[in-house]
Amino acid sequence: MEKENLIGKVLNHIARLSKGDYTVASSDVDSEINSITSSLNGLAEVMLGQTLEIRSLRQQISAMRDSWVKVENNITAKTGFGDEINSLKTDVAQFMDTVESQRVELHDSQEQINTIFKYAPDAVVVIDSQGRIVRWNPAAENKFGWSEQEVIGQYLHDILVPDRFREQHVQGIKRFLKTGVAKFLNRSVQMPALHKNKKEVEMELTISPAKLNDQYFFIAFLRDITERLKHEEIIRRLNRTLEERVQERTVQLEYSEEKYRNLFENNPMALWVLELPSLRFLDVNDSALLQYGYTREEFLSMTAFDIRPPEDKVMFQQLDRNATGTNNKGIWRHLKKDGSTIYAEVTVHEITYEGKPSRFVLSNDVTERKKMEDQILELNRRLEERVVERTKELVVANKELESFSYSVSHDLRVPLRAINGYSQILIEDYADKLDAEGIRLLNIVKANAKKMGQLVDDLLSFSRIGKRELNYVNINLNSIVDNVVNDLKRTESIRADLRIHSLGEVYGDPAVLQLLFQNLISNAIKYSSKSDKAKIEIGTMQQDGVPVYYIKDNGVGFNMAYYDKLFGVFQRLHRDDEFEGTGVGLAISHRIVERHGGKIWAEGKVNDGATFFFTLTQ
Amino acid sequence: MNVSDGIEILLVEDNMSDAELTIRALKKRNLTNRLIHLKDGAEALDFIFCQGEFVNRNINNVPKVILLDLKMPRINGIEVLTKLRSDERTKCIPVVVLTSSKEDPDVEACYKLGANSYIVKPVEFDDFMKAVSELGFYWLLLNHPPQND
Repeated sequence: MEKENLIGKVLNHIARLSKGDYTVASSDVDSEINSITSSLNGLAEVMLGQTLEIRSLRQQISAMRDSWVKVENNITAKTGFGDEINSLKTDVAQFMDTVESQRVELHDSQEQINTIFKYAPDAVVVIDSQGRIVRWNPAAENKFGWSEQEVIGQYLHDILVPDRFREQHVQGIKRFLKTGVAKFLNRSVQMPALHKNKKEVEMELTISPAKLNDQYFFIAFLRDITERLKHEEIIRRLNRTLEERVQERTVQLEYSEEKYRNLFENNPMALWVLELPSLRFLDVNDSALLQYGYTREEFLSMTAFDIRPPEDKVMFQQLDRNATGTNNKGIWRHLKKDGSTIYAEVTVHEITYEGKPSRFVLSNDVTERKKMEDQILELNRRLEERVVERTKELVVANKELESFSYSVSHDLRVPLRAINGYSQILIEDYADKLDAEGIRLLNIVKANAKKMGQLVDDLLSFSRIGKRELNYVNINLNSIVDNVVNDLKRTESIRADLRIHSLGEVYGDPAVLQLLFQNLISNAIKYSSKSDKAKIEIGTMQQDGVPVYYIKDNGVGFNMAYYDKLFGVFQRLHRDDEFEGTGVGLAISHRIVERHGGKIWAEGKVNDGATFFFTLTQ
Repeated sequence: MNVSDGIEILLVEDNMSDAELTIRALKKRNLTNRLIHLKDGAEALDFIFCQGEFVNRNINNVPKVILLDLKMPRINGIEVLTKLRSDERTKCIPVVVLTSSKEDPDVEACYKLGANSYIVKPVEFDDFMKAVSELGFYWLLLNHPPQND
């Protein structure tokens, strides 16, 4: 501020002096004064322009001093402006001191600037208005490979600017000098710079203009950003990847959300979400609307209690309190809007819905199923009743059959006995009155009566095997076979060569099995009785892990063409005059084996023997 | 001495043919001198317990054996046997049950009631003769019943 005041004062002096407000003045004085005036003007201008070019300031000051000495020497003596001059002298001296002190300051700050310039980590290059390099700091040397000596005075665009930017650079400076407008000044731009080795280096460039002595200078700060760009690229890439992933996830989430929403909305099963613990409906799908007849708004204004028939509400409240966890399943009665009741099979899951504990419910209308189940139960019940009824009837029928068997057995035999007996009496008592033919006929009557008695016995035996309860024990089959053979030997002489192998034990009813062996062995004896060397073999063999028993003879055999009749009741493959029989024995045998859970079959050939096989799996 | 005293064989049989054939068989063994044929269970009980037609008979003259048919009208063999076995005076009389069939469901009941044996009356005349005469022979000549002193 002091400086400005001083300058103001000096200018006032100068103004007064230059007005020629003095009468005595030589042309010398005039020219001196003019010289001083112009020096002072220059000084003031320098000071006002704030252009701190030390050199130019010095020149101005020393020129002023010279002028001043002359003015002192000449003007004081010759003019009447002594006071004015003295006053000016004082002011100027004072000003000079100020300027001198400022000069020192300036020098110091110049030193500082030099230091900064020298040690700046960034390249700092100063060019003049022509674009020639005037300053080139060590960092620039280091960065671009050129030494200060090599580049001072060179055009910047030849040294640093790549070909493709060169014209632009030159024109830019020209335009600025002409118009004072430049896009690139005072802002940070990114562009490549040339190294001495012709490689390009990415730089961040800031150019600031400076005016000194009416001359523009440009100070360029250049910072190598290769590393930074690399990092930026990595970060950019990472960001891009991250963004892509975020996007992807977002899409997935939206898809998933959409999917579940669809699953809920379009599910054919009625679904809803209940708030806990109020059991208020939070969400409900279309199927539920359809199934229950309520609108969505109606649903959302109700609780789960509202869809229960009044009589079920208490039970629902009690049971629901005990229900915990997920996956509770049960059949409940639900009330539809039209007042009708359905049976709903309900599955419950505890979930978090929009951040709140809720209950997800699936409801399946099983009314029809329930009806059908009830019908089936009813049918089953009726069926059971009928089974009981039928069983009763069957028991009665069985009883009747039993008494019928007894009657047949008893009543049929009485007349048979009489026929037989009285025929015999005739033969015995009236033999002298009967001729041979008469006796033969009576014998036929007797034989037939006897035969009929046998038929009745066999028939009853056959029916008894079918209905009697079997008493299962472990028994040795050989002991049974021995019993049978001994019994047979008692009533007839056995000519056949009997070979009995070891048969082992079975689990079965001994009495019934004895009848089985009796039938099969007596058959074998009967049908081999006409062979010269009758042979009967009784044994066992393994077939599919199951013992198979067999009775084999070398008798008359049978024709396999009639195999179907072999095990039928009253079915015979031989005439009575060939071999006597009732045709019940094999039917009984078949039934015995069947009741032991086994199978019976036979192989035979006419005049080449027969073999009967059977299993007893029980 | 009453005619009906000193009876050795009491034949209780409703069927005349069977009765005749039985008697004929016994006759061949000379076992019919002291035989009486009663035609059903009612007559049999009258005879045994000296009532009705046989009221004058001495109850202490017990037969050596009773041949008892089971299937009879009015009072059947089972009922007769039950009565016999439940009376001190008669419970020791040997009873042979005659039956037409081994399918007879009453056979087991007879044994439980204390029948001494039973025979199936065979259709075959010879067998029938043999069976009847053998059983008569056994019970009359070989068996020694407990004495009622």
